[in-house]
Amino acid sequence: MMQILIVDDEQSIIDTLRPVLTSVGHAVVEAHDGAEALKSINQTAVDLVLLDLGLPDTDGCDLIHPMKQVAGANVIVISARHLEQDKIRALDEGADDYVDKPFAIDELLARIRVVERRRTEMSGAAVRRYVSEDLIIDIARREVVLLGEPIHLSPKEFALFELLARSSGQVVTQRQLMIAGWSSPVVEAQYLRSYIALLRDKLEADPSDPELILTEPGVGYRLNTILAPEH
Amino acid sequence: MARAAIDAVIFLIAVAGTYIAQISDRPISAVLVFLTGVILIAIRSGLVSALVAAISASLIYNFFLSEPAFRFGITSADEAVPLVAFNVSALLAAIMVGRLKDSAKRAYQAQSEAAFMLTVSDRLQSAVRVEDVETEVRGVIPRQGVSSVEIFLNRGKAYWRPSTGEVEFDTLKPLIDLEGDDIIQRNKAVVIELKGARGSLGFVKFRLSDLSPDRQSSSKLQSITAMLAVAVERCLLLEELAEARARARSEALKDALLSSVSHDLRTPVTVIQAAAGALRSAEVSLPEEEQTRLLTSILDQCARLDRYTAELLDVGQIQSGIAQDRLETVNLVEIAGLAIKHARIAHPDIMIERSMAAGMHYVRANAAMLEQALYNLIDNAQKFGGKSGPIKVSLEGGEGMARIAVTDRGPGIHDADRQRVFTRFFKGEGSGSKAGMGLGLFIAKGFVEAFGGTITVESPLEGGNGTRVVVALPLLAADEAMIAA
Repeated sequence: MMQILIVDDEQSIIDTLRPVLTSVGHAVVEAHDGAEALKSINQTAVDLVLLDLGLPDTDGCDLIHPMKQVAGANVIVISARHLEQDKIRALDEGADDYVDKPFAIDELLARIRVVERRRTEMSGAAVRRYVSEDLIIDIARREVVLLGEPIHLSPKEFALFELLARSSGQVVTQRQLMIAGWSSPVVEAQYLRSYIALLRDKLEADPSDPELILTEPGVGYRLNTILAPEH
Repeated sequence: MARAAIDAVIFLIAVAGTYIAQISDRPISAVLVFLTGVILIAIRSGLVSALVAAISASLIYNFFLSEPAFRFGITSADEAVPLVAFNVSALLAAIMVGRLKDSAKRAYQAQSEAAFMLTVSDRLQSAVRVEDVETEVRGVIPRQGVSSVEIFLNRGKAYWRPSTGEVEFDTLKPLIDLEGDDIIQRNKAVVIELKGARGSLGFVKFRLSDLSPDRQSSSKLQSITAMLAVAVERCLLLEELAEARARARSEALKDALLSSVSHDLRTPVTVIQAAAGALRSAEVSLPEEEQTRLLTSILDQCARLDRYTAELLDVGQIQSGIAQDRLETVNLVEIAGLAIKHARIAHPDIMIERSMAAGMHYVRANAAMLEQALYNLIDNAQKFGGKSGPIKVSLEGGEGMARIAVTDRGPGIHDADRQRVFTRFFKGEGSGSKAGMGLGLFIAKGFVEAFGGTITVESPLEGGNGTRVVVALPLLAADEAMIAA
């Protein structure tokens, strides 16, 4: 159960989401503009913010930093603008994920679950490995095991895959991957694409129809599985 | 003439000086004085005068001074030496002076040319529009033996004369015209291509007032043309830049509009999809009353989508023009009544004060569009001023016009916004989701103007708040209305 703040200037959207989120056990607070949103995060302990970027008084992106850093809330951006640069900016600003309007309610609930899981898993101890039914990513030993088979990854491939694993289920921007792999946000995008292709060759059943490492067009990549951290 | 007279005076003085020296028995001084005279003349007047002076000097020397006096004759080497000396000195002096003069003259010419070019280039620098280039250069050119300058620029397969705006599709005509002038006016003309960094720009036609351009003036024309080419190209680039900027601005505007429209259309779809998804979802179990609420909100948002679609269609109609055959005679009172009824259904809590002038008020309009226009005004008034008091809808007629005013007691409109309320997709600051798509007033204005009417907004009203939108439509005369009815 989380305390969720919905920031949207459209009352009808809040009115629709509120009963849905309440029915799956969350508590809902609402705000209609940036000022109200900032007031809410200061007054109540908010776990997750569903943030519409097109607010009447502020650019939603500018709210992400205070929500993440000051209030310690996670942020899922919900935007009708569908502009890649907006999403990228929001994610680089620290948003955990984004959902395009209109969205399937199950999709939104799934994204919310990923955030909730991440919040409960959070602890001070370093993660030793990430595991799912099929996949083990051993951070300490820098090993990947897929369906019981050890997969050899080059150091750069491992660095990229590790970042995707840490944010499993959530989108990771190209910029974030470039920093992880090359320590620089301005690497040729072609390099990144090549490495993603290499990872898919090694990890996907059918690299031409990826199911594990999904492309978020214009934004980045998403590891389409939920991994549990082990400490 | 003055020069020749002065030369003659110098010559006479030299002769006199020589004579005096000679009779004082100073033959060397005599020769030197004479020589000085010859060299002076050479310096002043060049080779020919110097030679004339030298020959005359040698003759006079021979005739008057050397022995035997008063007759010609070379008796000894002593006699021949001054003769040769006079001539050689005169020749050398004249040649050297000539060279000096020539280079001085060239230096002067080069200087004046440079000064002229500087003037031309200064003038051309000040031209920012390609139309001005010709005018600027015309101001300085006539001094230089050119009676007119015409600039023709390539425009596709035609030539364009920027200073007059003429476009000449017959590309040969400017050239033929030139030859005709040659015969009729006996004016020489020179055509030089304007070459820019990206190829040929067109050509310049100089008409010359001198009959034949010498090589110097033709190279000058070449230089002027080169400067014209630079100026023309600069102006063209400036224009391109300005156009590109304007295009970028309109692209940005279009992007903003599209983003605004897509936002407006997506919002209801989002609600519909989320609500329908929640009703179907296995993981969401809602109490019955919530389910009903979600269903209601789906229906509401469908209506909203339908309204937006209708608005976009209205905008399309306005932009493509409303045909006159769609207009009919309508009773304004009746249409206003329908709009009010429509508004009462859309906003059940609306408060409207009606104040309709008695009698019939017939106008020429399309009933559905007029009703939509009036509804949009009432709807707007309710959205932005409905909470502050009743909305007044009044109708009055007079002087051939009917006026419908919709007045609210809301906060009014900012000065900056008042100009823009009738523009497409305009939403007032902070109007948020109330605003809809920002098309209501645009549509109202479009329709009213199609009926030959006007729409004006007054805000804030006396007392510092409130907004009044007035629609004025031409009233049909009673008989016209009767015939139409």
